[in-house]
Amino acid sequence: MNRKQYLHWYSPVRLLFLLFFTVMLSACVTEETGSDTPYGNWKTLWNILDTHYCFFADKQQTYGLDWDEVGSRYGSRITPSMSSDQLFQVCGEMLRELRDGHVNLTSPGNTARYWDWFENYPANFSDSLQRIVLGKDYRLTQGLKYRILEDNIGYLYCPSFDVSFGSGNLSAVFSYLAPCNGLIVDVRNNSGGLLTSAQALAGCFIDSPVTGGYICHKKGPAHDDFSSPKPIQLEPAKGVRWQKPVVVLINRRCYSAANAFVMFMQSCTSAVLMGNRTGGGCGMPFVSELPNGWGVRFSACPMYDTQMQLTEQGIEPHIHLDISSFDWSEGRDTYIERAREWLNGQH
Amino acid sequence: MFRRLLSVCLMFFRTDRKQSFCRRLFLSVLLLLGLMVSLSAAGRRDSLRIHATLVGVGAINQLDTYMSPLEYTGTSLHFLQDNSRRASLLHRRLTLHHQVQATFSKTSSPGDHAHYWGAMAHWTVAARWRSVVSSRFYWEAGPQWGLHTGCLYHTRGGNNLAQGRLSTDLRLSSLASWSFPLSRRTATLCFQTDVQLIGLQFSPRYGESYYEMFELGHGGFHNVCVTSPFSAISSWHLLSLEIPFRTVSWRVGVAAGVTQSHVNHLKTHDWTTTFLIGCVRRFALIPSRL
Repeated sequence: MNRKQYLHWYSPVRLLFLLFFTVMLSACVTEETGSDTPYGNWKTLWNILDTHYCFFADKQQTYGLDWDEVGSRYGSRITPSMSSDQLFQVCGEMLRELRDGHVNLTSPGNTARYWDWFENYPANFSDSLQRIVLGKDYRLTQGLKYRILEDNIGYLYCPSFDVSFGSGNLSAVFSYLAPCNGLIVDVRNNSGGLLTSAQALAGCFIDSPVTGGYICHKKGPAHDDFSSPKPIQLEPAKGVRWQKPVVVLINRRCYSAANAFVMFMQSCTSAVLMGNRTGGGCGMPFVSELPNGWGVRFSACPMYDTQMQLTEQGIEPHIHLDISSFDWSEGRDTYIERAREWLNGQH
Repeated sequence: MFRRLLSVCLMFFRTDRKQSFCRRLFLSVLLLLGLMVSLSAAGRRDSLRIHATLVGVGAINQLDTYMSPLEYTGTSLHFLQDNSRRASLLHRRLTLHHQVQATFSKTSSPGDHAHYWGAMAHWTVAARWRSVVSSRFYWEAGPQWGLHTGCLYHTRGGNNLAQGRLSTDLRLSSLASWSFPLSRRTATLCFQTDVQLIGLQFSPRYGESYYEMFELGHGGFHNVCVTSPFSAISSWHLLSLEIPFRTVSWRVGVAAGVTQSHVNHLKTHDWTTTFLIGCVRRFALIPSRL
């Protein structure tokens, strides 16, 4: 190849590669995060919440939360020489400003949390009292404990929605309870789990598809950048379904998916809610992490009831109950006894 | 067949200039399908084939802000099947190139507190026009269509613990090849580069959960995003050296992959550098004449 041919073919190719690599080097997709220093980790935490947390408008309306002001107040407490424990304490206190049980900071040795939504209230649940009702020969499947009480009232306790319920399991449970005149569904101390499990159990109480609530998500990092709410459709269970009176027992520790189950039962069935206001927690949580490896969980997708109201502060029962000290001493669970009285009066 | 199809379609386009946009678009799609069929048929009539099978190990840097703002680094394993053949079209200057690539990766956060497990599969077809500069040097360039799928799993768990990857794109593929004598054999040094021009990618929205998209059925067109160099550059490059040894040729190379996206306020990148080694078979198909 002579010089003319070389220049004819090689120069444009060389220019093309030069242009290509120039563009490449300037077009790398990266994310700016803080450094692994006390301030860098704190700032990353504040930014994650600032761009992903979904309840700023609700918290601002409820108790005047201003996340920028919170950032200024806690940012001034960060020092370069502070220890890991001190940083964790400051970050944990900052997250408590959100007053959200779905917001946690996790380090190798501790978990920062906000549990005032149940710690400041009576428990109204005792496994000792429940054991008297359930006995030793109760039936057990997929975490569900159930039996038929002496007055032909069914009792079903769901301690958690962490386990996925199969349609066969639920059909077998309700087939066994079918002869009962009424059903008590006890979700006290159920701190949540899978939303699909809550939907599956609620589906045992409806006969046709129905909207149980609404859900939306963030489209961008701004505090008010949300998608339009879309319905959460409940499908009736494929097996045996419950058609008779039902009472749902709730307390302050009903949270997250359990709160969603109560929301479905309240809006889609004729179930009567007895007990205390639920703990709330209607934001589906996401997780992220800090440069030092600490994990952070936060509410990301808000859910609404059929009236387009947030249930973040909980759901009020139809009949308010507390376990009396007399009943405690007598070994009686006030909730279960009151529910049995109500159901026995229905037929 | 290809030339007849092309001439008929061009004639149809030229005769009626008042055709509606939809009609032109429909004819364009028909033309593209016809081109693909005729190219495939033309490739089969040709006899010379080059099949290369390569495996490799390398380093990878991953970012997916849907799950974490941190960049994870680690190791990746690659499998690459590279097939090409010369077509009898355009004075035998058309090369049809078909590539299948599988990548498995495990990466860790900066403090090794969490991990990503990833698996990706890429399938590309390209038609490159060859320009022969000399008996030892030629270069090729042409369009490439790719389909990419996979997933990335984050060990932290939660409702955003995994990200599905599905995309298709149109790329510009180019290759330069230089043959030179090496110890009584002829070695070949090749450099291939593919740069994304435009594509479509699946992506959840900024805070959208897979529960909403698939369990509740709220996914839709907002999850299909257009990608281009204006949003994020994606490309793949391979520098390889092929040395014949007895009946096969051995190919060693270094591949660099840049797969990036910035859609729906979410950022992803997979930057890989891989050392590949494998063997190449060159063979000819003898057409049967009965």
